[in-house]
Amino acid sequence: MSHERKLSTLRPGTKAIITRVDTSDSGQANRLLEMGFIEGSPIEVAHECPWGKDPFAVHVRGGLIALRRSDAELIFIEDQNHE
Amino acid sequence: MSSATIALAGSPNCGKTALFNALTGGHQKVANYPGVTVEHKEGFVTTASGMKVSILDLPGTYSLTPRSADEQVTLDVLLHRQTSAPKPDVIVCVADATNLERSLNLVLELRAIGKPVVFALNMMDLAKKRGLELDLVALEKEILIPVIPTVAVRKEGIPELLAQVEKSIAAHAPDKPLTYREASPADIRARYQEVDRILRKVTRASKSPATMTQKIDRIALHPVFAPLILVLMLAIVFQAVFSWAEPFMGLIETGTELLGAAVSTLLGPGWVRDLIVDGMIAGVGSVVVFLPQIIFLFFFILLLEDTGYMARAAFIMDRIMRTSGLHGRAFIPLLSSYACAIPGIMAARTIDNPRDRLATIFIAPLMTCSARLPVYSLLIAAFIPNTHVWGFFRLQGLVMLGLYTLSIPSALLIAFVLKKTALKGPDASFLLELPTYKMPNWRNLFFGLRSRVKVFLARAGKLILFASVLIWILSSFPKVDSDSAVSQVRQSYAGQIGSAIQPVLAPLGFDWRIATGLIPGFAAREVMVGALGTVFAVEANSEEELEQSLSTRLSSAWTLPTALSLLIWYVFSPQCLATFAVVRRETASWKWTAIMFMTLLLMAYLAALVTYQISSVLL
Repeated sequence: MSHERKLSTLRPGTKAIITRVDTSDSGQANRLLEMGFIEGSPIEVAHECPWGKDPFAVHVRGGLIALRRSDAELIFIEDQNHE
Repeated sequence: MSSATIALAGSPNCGKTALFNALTGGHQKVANYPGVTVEHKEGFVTTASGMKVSILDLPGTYSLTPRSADEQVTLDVLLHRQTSAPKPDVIVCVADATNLERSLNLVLELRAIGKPVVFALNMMDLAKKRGLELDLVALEKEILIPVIPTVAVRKEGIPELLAQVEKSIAAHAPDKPLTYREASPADIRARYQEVDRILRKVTRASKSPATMTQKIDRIALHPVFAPLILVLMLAIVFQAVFSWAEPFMGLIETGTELLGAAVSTLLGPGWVRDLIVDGMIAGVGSVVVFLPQIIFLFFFILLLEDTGYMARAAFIMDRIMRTSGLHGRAFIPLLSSYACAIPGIMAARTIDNPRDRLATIFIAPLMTCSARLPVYSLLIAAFIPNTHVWGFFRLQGLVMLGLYTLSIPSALLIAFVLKKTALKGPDASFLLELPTYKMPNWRNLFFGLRSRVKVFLARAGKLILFASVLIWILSSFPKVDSDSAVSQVRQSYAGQIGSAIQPVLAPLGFDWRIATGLIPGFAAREVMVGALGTVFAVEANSEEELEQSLSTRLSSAWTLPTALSLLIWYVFSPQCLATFAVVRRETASWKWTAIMFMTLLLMAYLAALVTYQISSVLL
């Protein structure tokens, strides 16, 4: 778990694998899980909003999902660019 | 069994509405479940074997855990908790074949309810184009649900789908108890593991990525170009709403006048004629005249939604909306409100956080709806000199632009204050799938447009008919024995009310004539113009003449501070009646409707007061 970071810190072009989704707030976690943010899934950050780089858009499980960085705080990833 | 009900479920963007249109053709209606604010579409089709099938188009959802009013209805209908809706015999789960993972997750959850499910694998043409090969026989075996490939926009697979629905109904033992349990994180993880296992078994060749979408997004979501493209889109939409719609509005106006004249000759003078012509026809005509603008606006909104751009617009706007505590999705309702606040307020349903939704509804009437236009034009023509500023801009145009833009910061300020006080809460999440771009489907656009036009006409029409009759009665009775229209208006109930409230409005520079005009103005803003025409006893044969001669009279009757004050009043004033009727229905709360009304009234009063007092000193 040396490179575990939050998804919220990633910039466009970064590829990573989801390692953990914080489910302490199950309502919020369920929404992320339903959209395909599941442990083990590869992701790639594709776009950011022109203003403040937030929200941003992530390729995950065959879809392009936009989310706020505050939502992405719950998702932990392992950065593949550092391996 | 000779009749049955199908519920269409599916994630947003899966082509569910296209499939609904392909199944039902023109046989569909929009209805409201009593007691809840969510409307649903129901369509009808008769199968080859003669079974009458009614089809419910449920709001798009990724799961059965409800988060918005929309999703709650989906669940309630599926579980027969919605007593006013027909009980579905079969669920057709619609999936985008090019984006299967989330759809498979949903279909597995739907399967657990214990009702027959049919999996309609839509957009098979696009899937093939992108090289995706699926083993449908294996898929059926893995998910234990019949799979029917469809291409809804070309009506492919529709007879097969209906045949399968009949088969599923025949095979199913009715009265089997339904089961539902809200999913836990562990449930969802387990389901996605199952999705992975199924996909490994049925995928013979994986799809290539949506390269066209990626190419377009490189520009459409580019840090520099994205805002420019969005502004350009908005410019085109507003150009259409305000310029292209004009000739059609002229036609409707002429039509209303011709109808009024024809009925007049038919009925002959008397109060029946006055009621029908001046009350009903003129009143309903004053709302129907905005239909072209609403059609143009919704055409573009539906076009942008159908192609996949609207989700990007919400994505780009989210950050800006958030500064005042709003959600990116509020962008669409607020844009709609520029034509008319009624469809805008209804469009706020897609905002799942109730606090965000309420804040959006609250500020929607502040967007400059097209009904303010006639009032603005009249007063500007009467009081603002048509001089050039900096040699290039016309002063009248600048004032108009100023009135339009003034509403935006005021609306954002109100939203900001609301979200800091009454609607305080944690920042909502913004989770939105950006769909692949698609060519628009004109059939779907037409059906979408038609249903929105119907809803607008039904809602606005009924209420305006009632309100115009009421206002006609108020301003026509009691009858006075005088030929002068002015004394009639002054001594009518409306005039009496106007004179009674005038002292309160005096600090704003309003005389009894404005006060009287404001009363019908509550029914519909633009009625104010006609009301002022009556009060000033303008004899005019056409609207241009009315506006011309009325503006001449106004400029001699009122001072510039009064006119400015009235203009500012119109930026904020709580109107119209139909808007508040819709607010009441959508919020299901008299309290919020009243708070909203009083807030806007107070703002209008204070803003007009400041404007009048300051400009009286300066000018």
